[in-house]
Amino acid sequence: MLSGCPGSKEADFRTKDVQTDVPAGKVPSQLRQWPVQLHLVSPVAPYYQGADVLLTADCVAYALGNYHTDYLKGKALAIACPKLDSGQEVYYEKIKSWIEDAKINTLSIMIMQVPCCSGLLKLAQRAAQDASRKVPIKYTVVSMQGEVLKEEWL
Amino acid sequence: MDEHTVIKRLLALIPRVTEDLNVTRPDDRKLILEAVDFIRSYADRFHHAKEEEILFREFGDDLEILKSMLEEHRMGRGYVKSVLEAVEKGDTASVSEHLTAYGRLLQGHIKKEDEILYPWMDRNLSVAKVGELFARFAKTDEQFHDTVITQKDFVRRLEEKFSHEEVTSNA
Repeated sequence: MLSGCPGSKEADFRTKDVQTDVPAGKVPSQLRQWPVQLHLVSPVAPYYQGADVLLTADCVAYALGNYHTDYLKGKALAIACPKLDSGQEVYYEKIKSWIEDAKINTLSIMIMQVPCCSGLLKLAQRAAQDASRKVPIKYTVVSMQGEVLKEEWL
Repeated sequence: MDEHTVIKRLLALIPRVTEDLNVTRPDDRKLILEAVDFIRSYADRFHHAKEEEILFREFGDDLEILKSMLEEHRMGRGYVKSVLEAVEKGDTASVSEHLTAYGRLLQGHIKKEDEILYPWMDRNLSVAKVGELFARFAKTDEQFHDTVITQKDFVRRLEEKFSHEEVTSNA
């Protein structure tokens, strides 16, 4: 059943022109860790220590064609869905722990343009505000058709 | 860096500071010396040091815009030196002239940095580098902690003084 939520509204991009003259061959994965889901990761895992952390809403990596090469490369990752995931107070604590305990270098947050996705950014901002240490936070908003709509340091 | 906001608050008060100024009066002389102390310790040693010793160095010595910004820092120091010399001579007109010139210079300087230089730097620094610079700025903030508290308090008191005087004169 369809809800009134814009994030659940159907959209069909099959007629969209897709650039095909890109270099052929495999695009290597830039993932450097496992697990990646925010409920499953330990915020003090070695790969988060002093790292540039990328917190990505689940749908982003499917929408954005150059996600691995332009965004994930060189970063430690966690993914989450602010609309469907339960127990998000645990997310708050983990983000705070990244900043305070793992002493991360930066936090980048990538969300989709749909309104419910901004919840992830708000959650991260709240955790960062309450943390005893401060880190620079960058956020990127991605459209359903994979365009970067906004990219800003907070 | 949020120092520009504080510096702009001081710059906005310069016309009020120089209005009816007479540096042969002890209170006016003290006010100018406090303003100079703000400029030297907060705007220059604290803020410009962050730019010159940390941020600008990331981009080398050859960029014209950085050369221009550094030249404006030097010009600012020159105006402040002239203000102090004029205070020593009791030359109120010269104090006003050089302090006003400093204010105009810094207003334009900050506008160029906020609207052109910093956004350009943001686009050309990697995420990792921004984090590294942020950590170095935080260390400088710690080193200058007492200066920041003292000088922000000076600006707040100065704003209150002129706001109070305005209310009194309108009553």
